[in-house]
Amino acid sequence: MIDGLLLTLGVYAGALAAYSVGYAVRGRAPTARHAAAALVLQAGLVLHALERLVTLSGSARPPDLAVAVGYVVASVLVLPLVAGSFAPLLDGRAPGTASAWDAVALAIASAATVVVVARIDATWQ
Amino acid sequence: MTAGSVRALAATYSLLALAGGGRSLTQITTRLSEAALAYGLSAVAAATYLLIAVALRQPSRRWREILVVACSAELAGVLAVGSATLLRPHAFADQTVWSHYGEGYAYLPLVLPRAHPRLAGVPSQPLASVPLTRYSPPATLARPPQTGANR
Repeated sequence: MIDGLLLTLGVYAGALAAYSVGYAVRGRAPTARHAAAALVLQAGLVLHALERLVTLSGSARPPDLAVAVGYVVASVLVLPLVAGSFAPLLDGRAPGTASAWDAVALAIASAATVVVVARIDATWQ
Repeated sequence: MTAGSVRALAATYSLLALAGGGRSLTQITTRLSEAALAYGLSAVAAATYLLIAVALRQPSRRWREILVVACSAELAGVLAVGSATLLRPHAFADQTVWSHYGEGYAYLPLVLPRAHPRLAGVPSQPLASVPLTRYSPPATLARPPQTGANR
């Protein structure tokens, strides 16, 4: 059975993906609200990863520990990796070039997060 | 190709590098003896994706050349391994990133190298589609032939 925090994160990431796709379809660049929503998602994923680490210190362990831990580590890396692509926007190398494609990138990252969340649920049973 | 689309492409390649790298790292560290060839190929694929993701973020000409080489290698790898997994499936004890032309990754390994004309190293506009009216011959050729008056 999927735990509450993981389910919330999966639904939230799916909603963020849909929100970003909506912007991309209308040809609009993501806004500060998207960035704030992504930050909240990242905070939730870090919190969840810490919770899993605490779980590991107990007696209950997933059958394939390396794979299960790998997915948890991946879950906290997805959004920062994609954010790295936005560095030219943030550090002034490409000012004013934000476009609908950036909404596409955020949608891809959010959808990837949903997949990772589903894999975490499957590997930690 | 806009700066935004290149950023989206770099983000996608970063995620592919993470997915392939995490998978191959786990497999190599825990059960390398089961399918060394498959896991090694996945590691090569992940390293290629990482190189492409880095090259896409660099504006210099040298990185552009590295980008074209890396994308060509990636396309060659996915075609070769994809064909091999179909023709000789028993040669691979486990799936790789490039198995069945990247089936496990929504065929992105097959599609992405061709998604960007600059990556593929070909003109963005096919030569056949350039209207002939754009052609303006050099002045020496455009000049009408001399008549017998100057002889």
